[in-house]
Amino acid sequence: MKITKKAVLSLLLLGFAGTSLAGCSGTSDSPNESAAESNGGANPVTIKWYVTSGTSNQPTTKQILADYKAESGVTVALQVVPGDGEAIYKKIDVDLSAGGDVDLITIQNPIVHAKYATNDWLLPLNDIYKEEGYDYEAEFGKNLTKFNGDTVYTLPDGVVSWVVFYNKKIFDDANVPYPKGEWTWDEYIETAKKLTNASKGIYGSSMPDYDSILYLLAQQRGINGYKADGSSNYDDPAFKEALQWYGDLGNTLKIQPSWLEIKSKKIPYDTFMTGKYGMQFIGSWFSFAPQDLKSYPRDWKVGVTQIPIDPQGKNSIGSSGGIAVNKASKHPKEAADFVKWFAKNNYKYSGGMTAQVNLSDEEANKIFTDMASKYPASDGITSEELKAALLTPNLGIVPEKITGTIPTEYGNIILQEGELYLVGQKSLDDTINAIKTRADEAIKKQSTVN
Amino acid sequence: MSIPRQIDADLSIEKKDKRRRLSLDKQEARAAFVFVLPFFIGFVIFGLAPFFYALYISFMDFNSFKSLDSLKWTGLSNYKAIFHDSVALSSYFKSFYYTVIYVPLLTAAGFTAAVMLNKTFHWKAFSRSLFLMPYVANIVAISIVFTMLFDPFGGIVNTVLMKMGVENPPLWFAGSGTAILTTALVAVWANFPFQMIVYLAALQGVPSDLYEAAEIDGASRWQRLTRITLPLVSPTTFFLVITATIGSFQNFTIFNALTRGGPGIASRVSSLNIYEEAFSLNHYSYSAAQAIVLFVIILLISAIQWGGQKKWVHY
Repeated sequence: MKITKKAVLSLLLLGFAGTSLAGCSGTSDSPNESAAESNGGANPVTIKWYVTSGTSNQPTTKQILADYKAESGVTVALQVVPGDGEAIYKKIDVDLSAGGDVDLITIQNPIVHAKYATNDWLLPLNDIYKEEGYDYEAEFGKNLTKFNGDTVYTLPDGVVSWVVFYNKKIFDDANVPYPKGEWTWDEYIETAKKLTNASKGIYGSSMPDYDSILYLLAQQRGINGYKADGSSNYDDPAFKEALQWYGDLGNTLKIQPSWLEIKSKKIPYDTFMTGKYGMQFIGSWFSFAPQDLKSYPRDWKVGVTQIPIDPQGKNSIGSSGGIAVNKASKHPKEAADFVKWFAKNNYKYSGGMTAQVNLSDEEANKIFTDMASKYPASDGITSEELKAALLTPNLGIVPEKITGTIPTEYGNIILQEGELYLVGQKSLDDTINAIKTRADEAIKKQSTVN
Repeated sequence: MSIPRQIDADLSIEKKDKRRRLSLDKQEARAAFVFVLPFFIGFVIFGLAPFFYALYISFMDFNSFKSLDSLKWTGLSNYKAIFHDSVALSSYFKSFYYTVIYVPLLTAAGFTAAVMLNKTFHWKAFSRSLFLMPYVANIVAISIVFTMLFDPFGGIVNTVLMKMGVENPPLWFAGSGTAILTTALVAVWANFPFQMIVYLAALQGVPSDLYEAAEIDGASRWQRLTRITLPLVSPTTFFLVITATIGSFQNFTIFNALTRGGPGIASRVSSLNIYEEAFSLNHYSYSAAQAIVLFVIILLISAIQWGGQKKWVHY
């Protein structure tokens, strides 16, 4: 009897410890995993991929995994990281530091890419692809991101160009012609003024609250965030002008919600889909929203056009992401193959723009035709319109964000200090000085604490 | 039976009783150990081990995103860096400022509510349940409700203030001078029921004959409160103040839900700063050093409070 009691107690304690520890791990969502591993060893390889919970729930993700499995025989299991956006990297960092061997890491933006690449967590793909005779240079060319001269850690799964989505109903109601072709920020502002109708709660413009918006004009002009000696270049007058310009849109011109309003009301990034905004300036990744009538039902039409420019900086801004292979991956070749397949095919599922540069005109046109077909037919968005908005052959292209030695911290500092100016609690000069001083401190600290 | 034999038998029974008692004591001790064991295992795994690990890595160079087996000893460099980091230093002062507002208000609110609810009136049980509601409310729900209430653009609070003639009402969570104060007020609202319950238990332990004697002697209500109630519940007050102080320095959730340290870094208290350093910037060792400094600050303040109790706590 005593022995039974002891055994039960021990089991309970073990169970307690076991469940506690199990609670610390991520969730593996792999419907095909058991099947893959029990298929008699014909192709037992299963590779794991860190994804956000949002990505894991998208029907296209399941389709991607099924199509890749059908083509390669390799199972890709999702390692779901709770949270969305960049929040997932906090958990991924801890997992990788502790020896995590999940094969594939989603690279959402250049800051994330730089962080993992410069800290030596990613597997260089050059040799694997060269060994199999795959010419990634020919396929992705100028859209490839390289480190230390020639090292490639990911292949771009698309190109995100910043564009302007617009609400045709608001334009029609205000008797304003739809924007088309090359236009300037002055024209954008004039258009937004005509669309804004405070009595109806309509704003002419909406922009996301990213750090990069606070220095948008400087970035479009190609001003570097760092000086040649490595210190912060935020005392360049272009950054001051850019911050003031952005602040005026909400605070003075009132063509879009002020920063204070965005933060106080917690206005979400997809607020354009409420139908209360004339224009939405955002990355082309946002195209999923107007394409999704189920999640965003609407009785108004959407149009899309290219990014406005400043006369001093005729540049579009853009970025690319992709999937990289964890250096500790146990299946590097299979993982690299999925990276390649995903980079080539993702646009078919996402409705975005491919980063492939070696496509014939016919192939490129087909991509834009497919892309246009993903929008509801009632929007009347044509492949030519998308091509003009996304490719912007009349403009140069510059990176969306400042990266460099303190990529994450620089963005945080700009947001934190810039916010005080935008809500009227710090002067413009003091804000710029504070950003410069704190960025320099952070650059110095980076070398001190490392 | 001879007398010596009888004595021997008595001694033997006594020994047996003693042995049985010892055996019972042992069994009880074992049972107690088994009951304590789950907590102890949890404490070691999730409390003690992480603390010593944090202490260990605070002396290492784990300030970039790297593998754990490549760490190097850096001595006190992370601790020295704190004193050159204006954001880190200000975060400690902000935590202190929050504590200075939060703890007295929380204690006063809990005590006042307990005194009110200790009286006899209709719907007493129902009223107590209502008072408890903030404590069981989810912090995310609380943050949504208070964000709407204190919204500078059409929030109820500012609408009322403007109707009362206040031309420039505060920005509350969005104001650099009001963010910590407003957060502290919300935290007091959310947490005072716990203090209230503990005070209620303490008040019910105050002998009623003391009040009767004081009343006969002509003591006023205020005198009864300050001369009888407060001294007799002072051990409870001490417990609540010390736990609230420790909790307020460690408070992360409510700031993360309400202000995220903003506007700018106006409400970036030390726990938020530690989190950001570790998980946004991958400065794990530097963040651990900041956490150890915070631990020392809390320890010192607790020690001062412990030492000062002799002057005002009556056991």
